[in-house]
Amino acid sequence: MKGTYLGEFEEVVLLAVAIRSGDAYGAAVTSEIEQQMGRSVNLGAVHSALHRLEEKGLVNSQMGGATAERGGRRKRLYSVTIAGKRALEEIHQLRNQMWESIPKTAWS
Amino acid sequence: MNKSKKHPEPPRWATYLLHLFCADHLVEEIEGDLEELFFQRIQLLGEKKARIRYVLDVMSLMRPFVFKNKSSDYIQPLPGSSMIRNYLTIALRNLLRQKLNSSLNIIGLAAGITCSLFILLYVRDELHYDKQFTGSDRIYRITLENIGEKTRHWAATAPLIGESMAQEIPGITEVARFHRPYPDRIFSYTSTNGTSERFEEKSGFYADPAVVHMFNMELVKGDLTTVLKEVNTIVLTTAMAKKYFGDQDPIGKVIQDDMDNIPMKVTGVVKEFPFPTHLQFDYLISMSTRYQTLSKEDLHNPGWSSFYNYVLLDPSQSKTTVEAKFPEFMKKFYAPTGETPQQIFSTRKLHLQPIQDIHLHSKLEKEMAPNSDSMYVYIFSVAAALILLLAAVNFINISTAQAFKRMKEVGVRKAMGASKSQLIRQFVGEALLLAFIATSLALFLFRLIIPLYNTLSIRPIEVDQLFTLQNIGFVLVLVVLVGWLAGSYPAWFIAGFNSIESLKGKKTPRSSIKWVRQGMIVFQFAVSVFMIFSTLIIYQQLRFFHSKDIGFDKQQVIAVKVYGKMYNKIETIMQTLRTNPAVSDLSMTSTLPGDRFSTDMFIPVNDPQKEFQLRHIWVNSNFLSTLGIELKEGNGFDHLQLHQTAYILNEAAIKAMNLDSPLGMQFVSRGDTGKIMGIVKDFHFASLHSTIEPLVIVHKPFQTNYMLINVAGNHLPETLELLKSTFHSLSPETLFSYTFLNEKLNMLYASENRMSQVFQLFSGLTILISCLGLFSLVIYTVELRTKEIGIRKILGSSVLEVIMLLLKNFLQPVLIATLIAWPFAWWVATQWLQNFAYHIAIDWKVFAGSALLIWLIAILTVSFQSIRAALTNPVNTLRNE
Repeated sequence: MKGTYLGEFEEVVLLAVAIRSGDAYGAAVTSEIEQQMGRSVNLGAVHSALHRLEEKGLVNSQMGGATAERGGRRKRLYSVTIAGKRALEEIHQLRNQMWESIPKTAWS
Repeated sequence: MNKSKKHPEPPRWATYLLHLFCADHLVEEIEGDLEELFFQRIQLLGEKKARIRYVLDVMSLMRPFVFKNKSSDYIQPLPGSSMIRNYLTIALRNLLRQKLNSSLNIIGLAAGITCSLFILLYVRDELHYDKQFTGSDRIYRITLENIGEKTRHWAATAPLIGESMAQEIPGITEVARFHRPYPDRIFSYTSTNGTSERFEEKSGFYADPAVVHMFNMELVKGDLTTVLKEVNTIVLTTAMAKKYFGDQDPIGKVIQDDMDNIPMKVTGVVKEFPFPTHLQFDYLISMSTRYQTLSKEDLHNPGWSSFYNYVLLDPSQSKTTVEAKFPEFMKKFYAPTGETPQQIFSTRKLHLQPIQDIHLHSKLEKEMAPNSDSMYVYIFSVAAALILLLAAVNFINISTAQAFKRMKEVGVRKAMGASKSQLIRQFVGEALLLAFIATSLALFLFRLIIPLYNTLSIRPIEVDQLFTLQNIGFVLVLVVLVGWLAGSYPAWFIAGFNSIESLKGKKTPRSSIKWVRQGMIVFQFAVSVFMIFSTLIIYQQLRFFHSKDIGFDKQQVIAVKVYGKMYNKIETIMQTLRTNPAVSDLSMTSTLPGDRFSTDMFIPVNDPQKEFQLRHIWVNSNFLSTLGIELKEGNGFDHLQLHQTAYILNEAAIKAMNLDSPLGMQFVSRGDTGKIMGIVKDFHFASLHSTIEPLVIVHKPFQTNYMLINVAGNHLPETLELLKSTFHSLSPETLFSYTFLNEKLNMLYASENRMSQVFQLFSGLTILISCLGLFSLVIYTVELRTKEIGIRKILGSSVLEVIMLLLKNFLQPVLIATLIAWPFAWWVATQWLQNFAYHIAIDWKVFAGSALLIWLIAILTVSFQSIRAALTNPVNTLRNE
């Protein structure tokens, strides 16, 4: 598929969207990544990654309803598309396959 | 900044910054995310760090996809951009698919635009005469109108009238005069190595030093303050300086006036005026040079109209305030004539003529040079507008015809939701595109034709002066105007298609459109008939000018200029030439027919109170026989002494003076007394524009400037050679300058000649454009009726019948056009012919000729397509349904 190459950060963001599925918006994804990886992440980097993922068709988005927190501002809620899921699976499988291929002697 | 612990707030300036760059549709979610993270981080990291992270996040959001960008508004893309691309594609495809129609359309329009560009350039030039002097709106020429039995309005006035006026009437700040030497000068320049150059100079003046300042003359060489002041000095134009001196410095060199034998020092070289003006000259001689040979009586004679007096008014004064003081001034100025104030006012009137009016509105006696006429400006402007209109009409015709081929497109567009205004915009846009292409082509043609135009016109077009902002703007306006004019009707018409009908492919046009189209064809051909009619009339009038019996022999007459040293040998020259069989007769004259004959007083000896102002010519004995002028009564000048004064009058003079038995009556002219010897039949010594004026032919062999030689047989070139060698051998140091009388007289009709040429061109163009329109209409109609023609043929119509059917359809509008154009053309032609005292009568041949010509052209245009349609095998047209 054209344009489905995933950068490392994009992969992380996509995973975070999957983790927070149903409630994945900019701030949530950011804090999820920060918690999981233990490092600070720029909101701009996350938004730009989400934007690119959406262009690639790996996530889609819609505006959520108004909430009491964050001054009543609406959230843009992202969800992983089927293509996105397949991409994650492919990566996962590829990694696994590579893990399997490491000879036992490598660790001794 | 609010630093209260209870209500921490993100840094406002960062929020503000976000709003500055962030696109509107993204700002809500991003700001929400930022705020949420901010409060989370206060909990985790403390307020200080949260603030820093907030700012860093805002900074990190400065990415292209977040930025405000009106056109990349990706949620709701602008509806126009892709449509415009679509319009362009469709327009170009249509152009290319209908190559013939498109090219007819563009060529017609381009031809029209090219032609109007030239006309507009000419008209603009005509309207800009004398507009660019610093005081253009304040410079006036003093003119004198004689009132009485025969009114004459003079462009030239008395020598001192301007000067006295400046003394008497306040508000005249400058006075400058020109005075034309008569006859034309012959100048020579002898260089240091002894070779001499000799030319006849037909264009120059004696002038006051004040002209330099008043008319902003630009000196290339010489001193602005002293030029034209000294006696016997001359100023040359750059062109004339080059003619005599080449690349040498002309200042200080001496040019000899061979007529008066006066050496003149060149003190200046003046640049030719870079703008159109009626002041045309090659040289200016200082006025003081003329004063040397001028008697005091002449100088102070208020009745000698021979100087062009220009005055510059003070800005505080106007024409009317100055003219209001004229009566007082005239009483004083004309006092020396001994007339009572009443007599002064009843016989003459002074005027101030604005210098800007001279070129187009002045046809006075003794003009510096023949002026143009505002009538021509009108005619040409109307012609330009007409041709442009014709081209636009053509465009409308072709476009509406083509429109039916695009019914389906319009239907689809309408079904897809295109509004009427959108369709109109699309089609007007297409028209603009075509107009733009046509204009580009027209500009290209224009550039190609400029050299040709320059050979015809008096004032050539300078190519590099054309690219001014004003001109470019004008052309753009023209494109839009033509495109809009030509595009709006078809667009409106197309947009009005019923979408269901157009989708069904119903092609029968409504009758209203048929009427409009027929009307336009009628209009085009009416204009064509009008143009042909006018062209024929102009041509006939011109032929009449050249062929009318003007009462004397002009065909084989050569006029040779006689001056200076030539006079000493003139008897010998005449003797020698008389013996030659190639010369049938010769005589001397002061003025050539076709030139302006000067007017002078003619006073009866027995009644000196009665003065007649009549045109005069001074000749020697053989004048009448040389020109073959017919004597009606009395004798010629045959048996007179050389110094004896005598007169011959023409019939008009007898009538004007109301004489019963004129023969033998004594008259005084220029101080000499003589008898009337004879009366000649009226002959046309001036152009046929005016009636024959009263004329006095005076026997005075020593007042002559030209030798007239009537050549026998068909040996003009040989005789000319003979004359040249005779003059050269007998008078070696003079210039042999000659003119053919015939050519001289033809020059009188130069402006009519030019107009004839231009009209031929115009009528050709109108016919071309009209035929293009007709042609494309025929193509369209034939296409529409192919099935009908097929069925007709199957049912037994002959080819001829089909052709006649089609022809009839198209010749009807042409016939109507002819009927409409005739009376109008007749009326205009009658008006034009009123300009000439002698003119042709408009006979039926012109009517018939104009109609026949246009019918023939129309038939030719129509029949080509009609015959093709009639000859096609009906199987081909009926097969596919």
